[in-house]
Amino acid sequence: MTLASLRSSSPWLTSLDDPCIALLDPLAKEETFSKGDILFRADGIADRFYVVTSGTVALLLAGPSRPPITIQTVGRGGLLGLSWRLAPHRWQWTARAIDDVTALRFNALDVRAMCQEHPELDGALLEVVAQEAARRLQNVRMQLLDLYGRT
Amino acid sequence: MTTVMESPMPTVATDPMLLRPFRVFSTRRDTADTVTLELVAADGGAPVVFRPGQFTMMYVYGVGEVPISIAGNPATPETLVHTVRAVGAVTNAICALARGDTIGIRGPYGTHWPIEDATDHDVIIVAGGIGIAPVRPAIHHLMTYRPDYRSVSLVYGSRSPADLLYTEDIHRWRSRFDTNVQVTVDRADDSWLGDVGVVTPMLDRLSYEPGSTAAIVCGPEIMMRIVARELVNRGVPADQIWVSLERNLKCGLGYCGHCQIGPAFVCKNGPVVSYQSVATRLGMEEL
Repeated sequence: MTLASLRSSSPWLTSLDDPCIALLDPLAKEETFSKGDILFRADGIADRFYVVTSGTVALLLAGPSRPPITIQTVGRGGLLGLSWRLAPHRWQWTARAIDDVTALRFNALDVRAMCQEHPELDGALLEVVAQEAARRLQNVRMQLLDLYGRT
Repeated sequence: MTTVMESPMPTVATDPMLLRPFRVFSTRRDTADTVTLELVAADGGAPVVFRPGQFTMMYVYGVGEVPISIAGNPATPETLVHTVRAVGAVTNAICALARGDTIGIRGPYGTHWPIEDATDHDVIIVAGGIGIAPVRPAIHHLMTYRPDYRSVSLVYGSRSPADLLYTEDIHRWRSRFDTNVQVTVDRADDSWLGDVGVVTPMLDRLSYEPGSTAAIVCGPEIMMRIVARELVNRGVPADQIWVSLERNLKCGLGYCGHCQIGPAFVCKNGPVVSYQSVATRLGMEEL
């Protein structure tokens, strides 16, 4: 599985042009996770990101005296992990596989090195992260409205 | 496709203000605050023949009257099906009805989802919360006449897993190989194995040709506005996106004016209207 092959099912990937995809694809390492596996934990060092190729991952918010709450799920083609690009480079959420998951893993050090060589990739990825963060913020605002509750 | 101004008027054979008695045949508690009732005519008269998206006025004797969308299968009108969420005095009284109780019914009223005009189109249905009830008859129609349509997709958003309606229907629709069903909830604990989030990202998972797609969107008005805008951004023509408006309906016939939105009455010119016809008004404050 490559990023290029995921483009049709992923809006954020379609925003990256062919040269950027060609630079990123060789950095990808496929990883598999079983249902219930933790991909990363909140407050851990965000030294990577994933692109989900199959299965679904839940982003969890844990709190005292209650089970974790699922804030969002990320499925095929979804970008999992934004914190690698933004200081302080710590995960904000815990990510757990809801079912068996396959994902492309990108190590932040490798990507940053590539970005230093190719500033256009750095700009494109920053745009992707900003767009994705803005979209998620909008979505969470909608969820907070509790639209489907009693009116 | 018809527009809101061309939409057919409801046809009511007798005095449209006259109530008909219906008897509760069965009740089913769907969620903590929502009940589905099956009603049969108690006057020996004809069944309520309706089209998907239409509503009736339900009168609880001594309490009051409310408009409720019909949620049953239009192919089997002998049983009138309504799904009601208890949010006020009348709806609480409806949800408390038991088998054998009698309720007054007027209608059906209003415009309908123009699903028959969407043959040979891709069809996308996006429903949020109790908004799944008014689109259920359209889904029944699509399932009955499935070969007449291209891709059929349902995106259903709910508050939580416990608030999902028609779960048996959803399992059945999902088990078909010709229908794409996506369900997401706003919040869930870690026992929920489905999606969490708003409905719009689910559109990425659908297969459709935007230019020849008809979309039915039903739910809270903010949700309908955002989904419709997103569909337009993806190339679906605004005059092929249909939404169902909800206002304070009283007479159901365009007499009283309670449900006026701009120059139109929701009860008479709606509730189903094209997004194109209301796009500017949907975003207006306090309208």
